[in-house]
Amino acid sequence: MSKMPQIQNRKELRAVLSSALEKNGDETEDLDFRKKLKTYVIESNIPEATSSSIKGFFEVENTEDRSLKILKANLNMKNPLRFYLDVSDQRFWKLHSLYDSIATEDVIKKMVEQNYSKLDFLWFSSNLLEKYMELGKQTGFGVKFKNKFSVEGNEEDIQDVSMRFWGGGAKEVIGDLRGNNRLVKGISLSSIGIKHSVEGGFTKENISNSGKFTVITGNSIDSHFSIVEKIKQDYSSKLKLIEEQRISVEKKDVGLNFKGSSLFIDFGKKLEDIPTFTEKLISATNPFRLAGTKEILNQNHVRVYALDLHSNDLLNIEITPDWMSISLGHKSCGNVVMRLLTNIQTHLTSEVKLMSVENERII
Amino acid sequence: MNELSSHTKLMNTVICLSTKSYRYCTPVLYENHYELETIECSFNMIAGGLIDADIILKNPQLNNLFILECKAGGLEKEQAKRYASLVHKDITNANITTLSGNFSHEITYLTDAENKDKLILGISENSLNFPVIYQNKDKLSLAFNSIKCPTLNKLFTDNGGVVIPENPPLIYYPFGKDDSDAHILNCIGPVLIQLRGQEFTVEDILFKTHRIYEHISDNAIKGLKGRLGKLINDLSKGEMNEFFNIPQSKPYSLKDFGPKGFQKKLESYIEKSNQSAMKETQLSLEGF
Repeated sequence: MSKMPQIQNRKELRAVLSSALEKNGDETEDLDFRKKLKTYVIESNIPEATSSSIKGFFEVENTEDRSLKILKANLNMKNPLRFYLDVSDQRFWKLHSLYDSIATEDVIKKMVEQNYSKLDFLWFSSNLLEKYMELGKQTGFGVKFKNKFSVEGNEEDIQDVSMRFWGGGAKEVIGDLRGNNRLVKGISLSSIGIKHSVEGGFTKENISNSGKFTVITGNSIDSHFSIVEKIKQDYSSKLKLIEEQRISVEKKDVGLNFKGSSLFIDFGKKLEDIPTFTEKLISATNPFRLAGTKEILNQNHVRVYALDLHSNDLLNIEITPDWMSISLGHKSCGNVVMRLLTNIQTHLTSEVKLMSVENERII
Repeated sequence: MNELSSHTKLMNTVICLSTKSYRYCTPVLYENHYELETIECSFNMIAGGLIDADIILKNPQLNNLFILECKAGGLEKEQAKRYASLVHKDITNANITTLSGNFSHEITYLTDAENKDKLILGISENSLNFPVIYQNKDKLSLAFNSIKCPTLNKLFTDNGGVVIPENPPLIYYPFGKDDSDAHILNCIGPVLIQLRGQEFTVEDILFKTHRIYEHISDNAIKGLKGRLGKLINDLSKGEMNEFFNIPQSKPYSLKDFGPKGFQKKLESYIEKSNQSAMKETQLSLEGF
């Protein structure tokens, strides 16, 4: 596998990524190194990206710019992979890769998905992705739904939907699919395609629901930088709204100040088997990444005391047939709410909504 | 038997009714401007004597402070006498409310159906005039005397009282010293996983599980610490011993374990604790 070019500063980063963009689609390139530019936005609770703060077989090398690092992944000692890691936003890292998807995703998963990594993907629910379609000209979408909570014997329940659509009018097609009563629960967007333009150029981007931006083609690296940043900022504002609801009790000069409140995920359909759902939720595995204990209060109400294995933060959950509540601790990372919402959408029903205690829709 | 004690259930029911808990019930106290002021609050009266109130609600519109004492037993005479002698100056002097000026206050006892008559008898016998609200199945109803605030009196009287949820959320008061082992172990389970590879004290766990722990009375702290200490001793010396190290500087030390194995073992431990609690209940019922 070819090496990514050495860089020492942002000017060189720009030059390398621009050059890769120009070569996109050039079939004469080594197939193992197609130079399809990909940027992964990673949610981080690590204060500083260093070799010791990232768990696993990773090394972080500095460049001339403090906020631009080289991430060296030593998964295969003969061929360590080197990525460009932009940590200018401490909470949302941008990892740029010119390797093929399989190699890159193997590295990212190993880095992000290990327990207590303090790293997580971004989780774009369907309506966020649909909103992001408006940032450019729609060029397609992907749908992925895999029912992990189907009740045995319920053959009427939708099980698996997987499709990819390329072409204009994507939103209209999504709307038509949702018009089908049988399909509607499974129309969970896994990616969108948009043509994004800036002055002097464009990029055609494929944006996945886990925060991966792949440049399909284009002629402006600024367009890629711009779309990644716009979406990152929007996601950040959603996360801020969620984290404002973290629950805490503070002492005032007089009395106590009770801050925050629970958030609610409305399922949009009846959850038939709450015990099975709960088991999977706290099974300490992907995609939910929660461990914990449960109290079955009755057939229709379960309390969960959970630990987020991404951030090592505590949260309380209650599950009923129609909704689940999530109460974050006073320092808990809010990305768990995005992770739950998006994965419930992918594995239970696409019709989920994130609601505030005032019953206002957040996502 | 993940059972909540009557005290924890009543506390959380009142918290639910006085916060925006629309998913669980109509929070009538909140809707009538009664907000949570403080939980498990203790303060000294000017003339001496400690007041240890379970919940204090304030109504800035009516300028009224509603002090609730949750009782899962009979009347504690000394405590009741202290409540009876509590005056406005004691409250302002203690700086426990944001209400100011000439606000009113009243003390009401809250209990369950089982202890209602015992509590009323105690109040009558001591010539006191506290109102008593009790949990009457799915409602909180006024059972004795009347509440001075007409809004509250009406709420707890009309239509048999205030409708309450079967299982209120436990956001601010997850457990008390009288709850079942199973309930407390469920609450602290994730914290023990979080503390893997570390030494810790009972207080470390309480800080992480009880959102109001830093602000509650010394009596409440003592009760919680004692109960939790016993539970963790049992865990560390009994069936969960394999996950504990010999501590060096703090009372307890956990090995650096994976979450799945610990979770599975704790679940089975809680299940056994449930079964043994059920047996005990059965035996005591047979004895009765």
